[in-house]
Amino acid sequence: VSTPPAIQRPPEAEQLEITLFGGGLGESVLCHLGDRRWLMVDSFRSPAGQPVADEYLDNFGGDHRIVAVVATHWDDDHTHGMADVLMRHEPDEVWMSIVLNEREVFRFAVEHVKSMEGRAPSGLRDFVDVLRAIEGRRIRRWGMVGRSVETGTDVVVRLLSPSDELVDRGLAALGMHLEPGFGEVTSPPSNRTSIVLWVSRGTACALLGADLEAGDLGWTAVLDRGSPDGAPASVIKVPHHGSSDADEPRIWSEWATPTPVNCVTRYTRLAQPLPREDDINRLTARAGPLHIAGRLPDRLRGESVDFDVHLQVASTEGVRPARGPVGMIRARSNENGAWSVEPYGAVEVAQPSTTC
Amino acid sequence: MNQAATDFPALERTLGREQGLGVLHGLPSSDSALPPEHLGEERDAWFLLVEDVSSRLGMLAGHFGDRGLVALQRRVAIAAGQRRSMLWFGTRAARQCGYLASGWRKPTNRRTSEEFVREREYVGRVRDVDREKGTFTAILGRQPDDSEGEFVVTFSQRLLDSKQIDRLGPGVIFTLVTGYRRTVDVSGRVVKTALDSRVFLHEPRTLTPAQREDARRLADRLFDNE
Repeated sequence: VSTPPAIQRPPEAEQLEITLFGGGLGESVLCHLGDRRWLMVDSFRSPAGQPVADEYLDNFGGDHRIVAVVATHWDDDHTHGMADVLMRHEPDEVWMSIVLNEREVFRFAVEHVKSMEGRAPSGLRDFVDVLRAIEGRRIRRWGMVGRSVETGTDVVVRLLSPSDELVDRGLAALGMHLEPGFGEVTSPPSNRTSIVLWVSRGTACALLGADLEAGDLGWTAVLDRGSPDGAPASVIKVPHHGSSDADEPRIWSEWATPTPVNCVTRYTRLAQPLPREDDINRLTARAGPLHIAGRLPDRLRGESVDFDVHLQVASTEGVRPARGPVGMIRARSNENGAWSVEPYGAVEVAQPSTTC
Repeated sequence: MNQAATDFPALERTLGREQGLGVLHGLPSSDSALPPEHLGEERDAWFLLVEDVSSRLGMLAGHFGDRGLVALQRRVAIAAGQRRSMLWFGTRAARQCGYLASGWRKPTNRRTSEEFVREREYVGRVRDVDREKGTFTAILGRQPDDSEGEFVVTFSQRLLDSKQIDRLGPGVIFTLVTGYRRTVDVSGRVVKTALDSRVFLHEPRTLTPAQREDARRLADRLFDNE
């Protein structure tokens, strides 16, 4: 993140701030709870190698501290650097999806990481690293609908998922292979175990959609329980990089203000990165401008890619570096619950199409 | 091979046509041009031996025109080439997958042979396989633990032999070695060079009972000691 002077201005003591970071293969959210206390939702590292949350808070100087961490799920674009943050800030609570609360899951994770000798899916490695970082500190919290993060301020952070229906499915909800060996453990089914958050202070409300997908066990179960505060959300972190399989129009029709601040992160590992053109058109047509954090891969920007010439054995269109420059979308509320939005770095603002 | 590797000075003294060949005959029939694992720091001496033997055999073969000697020299020359390319260092997968038996050292004719010069090595994890298109997509990294330096590449299954294709599946780990394939004649002159890369699927690794017990103990501790 470049550091123009405005970035270095910390929020007011009682000001709610929601800042979304995206790096092409990484998503993280920081929420200022008040009094220099922060909630971090997911984590990734900047190109400099530091967790983006740390990098951002270092701009402020002083004693800003992350007091709570939520790991929405264990896909590796949400988990890198989380253990480092835990070691540095020693938060009071670390939340993870309750479907992981099984001895067999822990055994599976550790055995899998050991048997693959450092080549296990990195989200799984991060999971084990986080467990090691918080061992014995009694700060582990199991997340599911109906529970709340202890903020220590008047900011309320409620968990809206995973739903009871999903939790009832137990290990099957994880889509994990339970025999040690080979398998893509952090496979897409982990998205549906995601922790969705509702962050509010007075009338300023934000919905952080994690990677939760649509469907009976996903957004339908969340929305059927009704709006947490009765007040609409005016900041929405669009779920799962704006993909069509996470699209749920009811989020906007039932839970959002008419013109919320919509923000999303790119996901560039796919041949066609998310959000795609159709996704952007759909989202902007529904709810107005869309802030997109993270930059398109060089190959799609018409720029050359510095790469091993020998990999021409592979499909060149499939070659895509995973990590790119960081984009940051900062929203700060005022006393009336309105938000000021400041984009920094690799951020694109997509406007609704004017063609009919 | 072990005798040759550990008794190089003696071999050097005796490397005449008869005695030398008698000792050296163990080299191509020993199943591998790899230095024995037990050698440790003596691996360099082993490689020096191979290069020296290659040179001497080349002269002998040229002088006597012995067909067996030519074949032996070719075999040793390839081993020497592998030494130069460092192909075998750190390529555990290549050993596990029987790399020697599957590829590089086949002679193109009696006067030339192929050698491989390694350029880079990657470790990958198969993400998905498209058998209809004959491709597979993998997450690739330059360093085994550099998960954030990963990138995604789609490969043709033509990089694999039929046995490897059967084993291909999500989650399988492999080593990708990129480099040059060179055709060299008996004098060591390069007559042809082409880009070449190979994929070696790793054998599934399972924990030993003791390792698994350790892992379970750690997992249980992490689970119970919140």
